[in-house]
Amino acid sequence: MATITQVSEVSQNDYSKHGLTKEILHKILRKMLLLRKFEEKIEELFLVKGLLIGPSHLYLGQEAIAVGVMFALQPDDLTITTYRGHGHALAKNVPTNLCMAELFGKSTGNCKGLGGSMHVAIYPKTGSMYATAIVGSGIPIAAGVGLGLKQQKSNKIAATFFGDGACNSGAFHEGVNLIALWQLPVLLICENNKYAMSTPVEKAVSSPSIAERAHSYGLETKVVNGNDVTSVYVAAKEAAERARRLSEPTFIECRTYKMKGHGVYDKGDYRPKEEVAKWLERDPILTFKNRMLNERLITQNEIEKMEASTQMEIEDAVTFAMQGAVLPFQEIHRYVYAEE
Amino acid sequence: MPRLDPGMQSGKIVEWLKKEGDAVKKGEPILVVEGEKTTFEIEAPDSGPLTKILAGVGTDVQVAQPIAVIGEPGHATHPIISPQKADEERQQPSAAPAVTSTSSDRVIASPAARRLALERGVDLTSLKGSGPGGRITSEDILAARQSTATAQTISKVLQPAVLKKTKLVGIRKAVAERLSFSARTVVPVTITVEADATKLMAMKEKQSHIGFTAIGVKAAAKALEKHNSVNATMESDEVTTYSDINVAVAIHTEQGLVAPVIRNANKLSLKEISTEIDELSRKAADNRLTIENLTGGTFTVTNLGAYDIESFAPIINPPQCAILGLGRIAYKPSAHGSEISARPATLLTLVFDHRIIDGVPAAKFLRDVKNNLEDPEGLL
Amino acid sequence: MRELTYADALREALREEMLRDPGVILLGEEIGVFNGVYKVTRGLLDEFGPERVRDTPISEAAIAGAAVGLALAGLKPVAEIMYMDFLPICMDQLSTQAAKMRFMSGGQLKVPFVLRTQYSLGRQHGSQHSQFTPAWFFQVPGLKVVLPSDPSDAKGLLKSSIREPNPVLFVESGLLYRSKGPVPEEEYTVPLGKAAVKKKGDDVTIVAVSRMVGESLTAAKKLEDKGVSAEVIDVRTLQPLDLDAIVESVKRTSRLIIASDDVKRGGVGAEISASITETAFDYLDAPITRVACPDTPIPFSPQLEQMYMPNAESVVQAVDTLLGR
Repeated sequence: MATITQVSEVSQNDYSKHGLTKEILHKILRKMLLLRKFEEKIEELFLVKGLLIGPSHLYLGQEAIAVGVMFALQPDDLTITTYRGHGHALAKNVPTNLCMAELFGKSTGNCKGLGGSMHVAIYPKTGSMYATAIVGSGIPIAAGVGLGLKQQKSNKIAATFFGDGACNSGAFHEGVNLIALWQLPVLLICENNKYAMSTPVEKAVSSPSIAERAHSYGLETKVVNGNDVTSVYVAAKEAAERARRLSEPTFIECRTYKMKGHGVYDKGDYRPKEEVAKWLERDPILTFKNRMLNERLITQNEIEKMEASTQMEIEDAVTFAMQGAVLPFQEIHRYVYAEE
Repeated sequence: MPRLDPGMQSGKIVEWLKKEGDAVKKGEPILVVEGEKTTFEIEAPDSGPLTKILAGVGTDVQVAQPIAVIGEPGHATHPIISPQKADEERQQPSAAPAVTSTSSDRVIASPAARRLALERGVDLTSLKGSGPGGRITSEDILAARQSTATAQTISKVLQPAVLKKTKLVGIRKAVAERLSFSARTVVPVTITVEADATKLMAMKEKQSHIGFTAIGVKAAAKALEKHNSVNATMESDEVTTYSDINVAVAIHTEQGLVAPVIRNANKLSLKEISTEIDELSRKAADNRLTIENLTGGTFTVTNLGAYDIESFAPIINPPQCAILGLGRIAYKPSAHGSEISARPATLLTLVFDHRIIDGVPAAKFLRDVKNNLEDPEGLL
Repeated sequence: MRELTYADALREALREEMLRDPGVILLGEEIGVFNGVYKVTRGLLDEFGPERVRDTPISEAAIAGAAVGLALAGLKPVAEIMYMDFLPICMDQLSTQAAKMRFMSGGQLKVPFVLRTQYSLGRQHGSQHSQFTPAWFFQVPGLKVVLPSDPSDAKGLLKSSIREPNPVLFVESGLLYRSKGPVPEEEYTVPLGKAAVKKKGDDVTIVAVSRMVGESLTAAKKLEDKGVSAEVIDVRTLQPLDLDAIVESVKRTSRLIIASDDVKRGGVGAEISASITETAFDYLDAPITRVACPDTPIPFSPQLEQMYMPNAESVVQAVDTLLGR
């Protein structure tokens, strides 16, 4: 019988139970810092330096979800995400250089400059299988991936990321139905950041909550504080194990908030100022840093070292990207069909 | 309107043998057309009702323009209806209609036909199309090469087989133009006299290197000294007589007729004249005559005697006012009193421009030329 | 040679490829227990089990999306969309996702799957269950579109499509499922991208698609009696299109007709016509003509439907008009 559970905060005592060693916690923080600094750099390259062009959807404020889930998964698990995918790409270990070059449209990017910001999370080498720009369309694909893994009796599982807006699309319904019906090994990670572009969830979702909607499909459902990386991690870890062992899917609604607007140019003025301020206080990186400091699991010095090294990594990535060349035009014909 | 002979540009409708609405049979004469040189009966190219007559009696119609319609509109495909006429009435295929041109200059031919026509040097305007709406197709081009009759001719007159076609260029063209001009402006009068050639023949036996043309030149030049009204040119309405006597000699070359000038012929000996004629002939054959050679003539001598010509009336070489033609030297019957005997003689023909010279002065001049020729030793 | 129905030939192809490659999975509505609405998948559930022959809910987007996902996971799905009319429901997965994944990923992704579908024009199924719309898909770079016209090609082309490393839309002709034809016993495939000259001729080229191939062959016989020698070319695949074969034929015959079951406006004939005009203009003796359906939805009434569909007589008339008879 499927249940909806509210995932509670993880107490320090339980860290080791969930495999959260100090080393891993440091890695988690560093990864979150990488995501944050990457997105800040992208914002600067767009709005201040004018070096980047096109749509770009920043992951600022949602770092706990991508990082929490990816650390809970095994490295070779397969993920399908969306156009708000810079965070998922970096969290799934797509090299920072290649991501930056892809955003610059260079042939040295992981998609040879043919995909861009909305498809930067495509890097099968590390299991980041796909990123779609069509809202909701990743879910049926995730069903297929899960089915394929189950068919091959693989030890791998699939996880797909989508927003609150996707929950109203036909593809969501068809995909979720199939995943639940066939009990496929898929984690359905809904990043409910309360707004689909400028449309708040209350004005879009008819169900009392997204979790209840998911639960009505017969899915094991969890609701978790999407700004608390350890909660996300624990929720995802449990779901992953169940998927792997029993081929049972789980729907995890992560409640979070975008620090900025929908796309890099969007100021998000449609959101009430107090709401924004309240959520900024719950900045996932700030709160995690403070907790770790309080729990004496990290020093200020170590934090500063991390900040510096991640910043350097970003700067190096920009240099790499700017040096790259654009794909010669006639080459585009080579990428339409596979030969073998 | 068919092209009934090669030079025909237009034809005049003389008579319609059938009237509108009559049924005509293929091959049946239906009208009479007058071309540039003759009148022809035109036969119906197809059977059917003579639906419409487009040009009435007395009208002049350009070749290839329509003069009548046989049959239902839209089915006409024959040359009495010009293939160049745009055919809006043809049946449309189920696809979008093909391009119909309303310009009467456009030949409707398929892309394949145009390519083949270009490759094979076939003139599209000479064909009738067998495709829908009279479209010329590649089959028509391929068939055109194999047929011996051209599609345009429908009367009984056939074109003669062509050996070669040459455009008038260069010297030929210039000569043609000059002669046309002469024919149009000059008022020529021809007078002939027979000269006794006994002494001439005797002298030629002794001096075989001196040609008859040279003798003729000298004879004329000497006479011109006494008749300077004949040594003249006319430009617009001004006549110029000259103290120089420059006699031009007509020389035939491969490229055409040239008339290089022997300057001051009256002052040269016969031998000198003969040598110069040879020299000029050689130069002419090699195409090395200069402007100087070809200008400044005041009188021309031309000799066709070597070709058995008795006499001829040459065309005056404008702007000169007279020309002397020499015929053959041969034994001719001659009367002395009432006795006929054979004597060597030659006919001299002078053509002079009556605008400039009158008959009597011309006759006096010619008589002197004759006298000079009859006593050639005096010319040496 | 033995004769099989078009449907049985397709089944043989599926079965042989499923035996050859354990990664081949079938999914679709009514393909298992019901044995397939047109019996193409008859007996396959019994032979291969429910994990390889999967009945799905009525979820075209999920069926197509799952096919994409299965391909990403390394398997070889053959999904069935019952009627071509349902393809717009999963158009996103087919045209926006699958077709573009290789390109957008800069060559990192490969999406090998077959989406089988059929069109029921001629079976009185009405406007919403009869459409033939290959033009919508062969316009999408990244998709391949295959249309067999007889049992032997159906088997050979389906085998090639299953082995193809790209997304393939495999369009079957509903009216032809029960038609019979010779099918070789030994293992064979028919390559994608090679048209077949099914009848040689000199006077006119008829390029035909799917069901119209048979109609064009019938038309060609009638034309022979009238002294017209028609060449009939079966495109077999619209993408990749064997344009060279058509050009070679047009150069010899100088006249081209394109016969297909789709609506004329913007149909496959329009593209082929434009391509041939560009490449073989100087060899044409007549405008390129299309034989297709009128620009209206398909009427139900059986008599009206018969008048709506092109057939051998339509092709004969088109040739007559082309030749000015």
